[in-house]
Amino acid sequence: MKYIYSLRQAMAELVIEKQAYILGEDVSDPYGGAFKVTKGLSAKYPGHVISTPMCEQGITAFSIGMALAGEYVIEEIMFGDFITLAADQLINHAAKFYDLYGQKLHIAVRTPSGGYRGYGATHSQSLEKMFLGIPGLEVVAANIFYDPGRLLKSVLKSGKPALFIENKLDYSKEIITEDFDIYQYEEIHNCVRISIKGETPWWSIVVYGGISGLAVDVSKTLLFDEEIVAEVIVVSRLNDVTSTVSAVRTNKVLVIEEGTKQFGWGSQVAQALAEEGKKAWHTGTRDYCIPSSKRAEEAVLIQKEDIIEYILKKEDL
Amino acid sequence: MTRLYEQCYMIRAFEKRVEEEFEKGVMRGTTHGCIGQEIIPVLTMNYVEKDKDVVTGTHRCHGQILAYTGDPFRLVSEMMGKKSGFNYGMGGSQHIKYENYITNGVTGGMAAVGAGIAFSMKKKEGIVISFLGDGGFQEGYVQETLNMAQTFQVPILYIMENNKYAMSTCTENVSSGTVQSRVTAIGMQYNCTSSENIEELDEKINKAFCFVRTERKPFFLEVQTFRLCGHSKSDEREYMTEDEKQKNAENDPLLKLKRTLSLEKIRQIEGEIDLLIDDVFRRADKEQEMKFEDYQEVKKNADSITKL
Repeated sequence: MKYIYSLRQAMAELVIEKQAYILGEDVSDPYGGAFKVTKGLSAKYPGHVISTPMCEQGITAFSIGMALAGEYVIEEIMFGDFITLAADQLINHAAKFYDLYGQKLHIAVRTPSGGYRGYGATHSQSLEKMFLGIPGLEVVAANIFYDPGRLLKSVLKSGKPALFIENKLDYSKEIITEDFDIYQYEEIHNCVRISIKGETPWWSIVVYGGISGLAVDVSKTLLFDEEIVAEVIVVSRLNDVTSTVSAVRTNKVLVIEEGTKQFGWGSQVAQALAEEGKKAWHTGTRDYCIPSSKRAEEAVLIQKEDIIEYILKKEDL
Repeated sequence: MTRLYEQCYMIRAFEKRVEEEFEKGVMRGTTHGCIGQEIIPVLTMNYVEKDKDVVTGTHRCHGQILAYTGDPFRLVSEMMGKKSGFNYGMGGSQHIKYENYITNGVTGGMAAVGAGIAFSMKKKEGIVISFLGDGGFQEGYVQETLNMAQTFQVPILYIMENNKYAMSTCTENVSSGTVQSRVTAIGMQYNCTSSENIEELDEKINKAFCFVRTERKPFFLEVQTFRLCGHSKSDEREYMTEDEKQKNAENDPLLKLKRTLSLEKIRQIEGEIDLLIDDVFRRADKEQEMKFEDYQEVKKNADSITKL
């Protein structure tokens, strides 16, 4: 099944099972959202798909209020770049209602992150790291190796407010349902471990979200061209560093992310791995605004070749 | 009027005592007093149907929560970080949720959230009563959700306690147009009154409640008022002229209530409440402080008392 259909189907099921509401800019038909994720839902479930004015702060406040009153709410923010506008309501309201008042909030704020499409500096970023380390707020990233709809449903049912990161390039991709090891942690799934059958890895690549497929590609190239065996750990719950670390079986680890390398999720995970006595490194996108030009964007965003080069440099260490 | 004076005086005595405790260095953190504004939450709460309605508050919430619960012991406990507080001492002065009352420390934030709660109320019986101030009114998400509340026709009553100052900044100096012009521009029903005329205030609050309950649409009531204390514990109100302070003190709604009562009655009410406040502060002081180890238990308990 395609990633986008899985999400759409999960939302339909949440409307049926939990009378959930879907809010966001342009989410109703005929438009069905900027990336068409909610297409067809407003016709099927009238009154449950609400197109809002263009005001992410207000929509987020409104959605949190609905969740506070007991509703299941899926909010869509058109581009991941615009989650900065939702920050106060997520950090100072939703997270505090959950952690300070013990109030369950069945809300997920869905948003697509990521570049590689020439959308430029304000429509390509991976800003989710700015929301990490906030007690009471879950940050979850979908990927093509674990059913994103299933992930969305478990996130929403958990009652902990969540930022749910999708990826623009993943919408049209098929979900890869091979027989991988799946780690379960608390009520929300965390990691998928992808390893090459019959081989014992000595490298681990830890990754989340849109570039997870890229990481698996890297592991194949490493095996065929360099005879290096690497497992890939694809993480969903970004703030759950403990279970991320526990999923890593090797002693050499590279953590990669599409967000800028500095002050990232990767540095936190790599540091936690180092505390476990592992050799851990992290890399990500270079610290520049993301250019629109194809060649310049490629140079700034992390690429397959960068990751391979990084691992080869560290192979003999 | 006797009951009204009792309710208002209790809040006044509580806030005065809080100021004293801060001066003595007994209380920690910060606090936002509502001295001068007590009459607004007191009259408002008279019309709240506690089992159905939801009330969202502001950072200046002591008057609101005391009028809602009539329980100064749990409020002072909360402010002292004691487990006997509304939120087990987790929240302190400005983070309180109790039954269907909820507030938070970010100005305007709860008015924005209130609109969403009211959306859910469309299919229920109750309404949302959402307090906000003239400072919080300037926040982007307040303006955004006023529009959403009106567009989606949700049953919410906004009560603006307009004390004319956003901390030390006179709101008039930093905003264009009027509250009325902004609210009515989006087609929302609006009315204005002042805390100085108690009978008119009561009548307009009553009418506003009736409108939201019967029409199931938003209503915005602006109440002109004033603070007779600083914005927070460290504020001496240097930004107000002596004339203004004097004029406000003369127009204190509590003085007006007092004039309707006999001296004997006043003495009796104040005597009893002074004793009550003294008693709750003493008792709270002896309560067990919340410890870090209680964090998980607090969360679990909080969840089970959740009604909202």
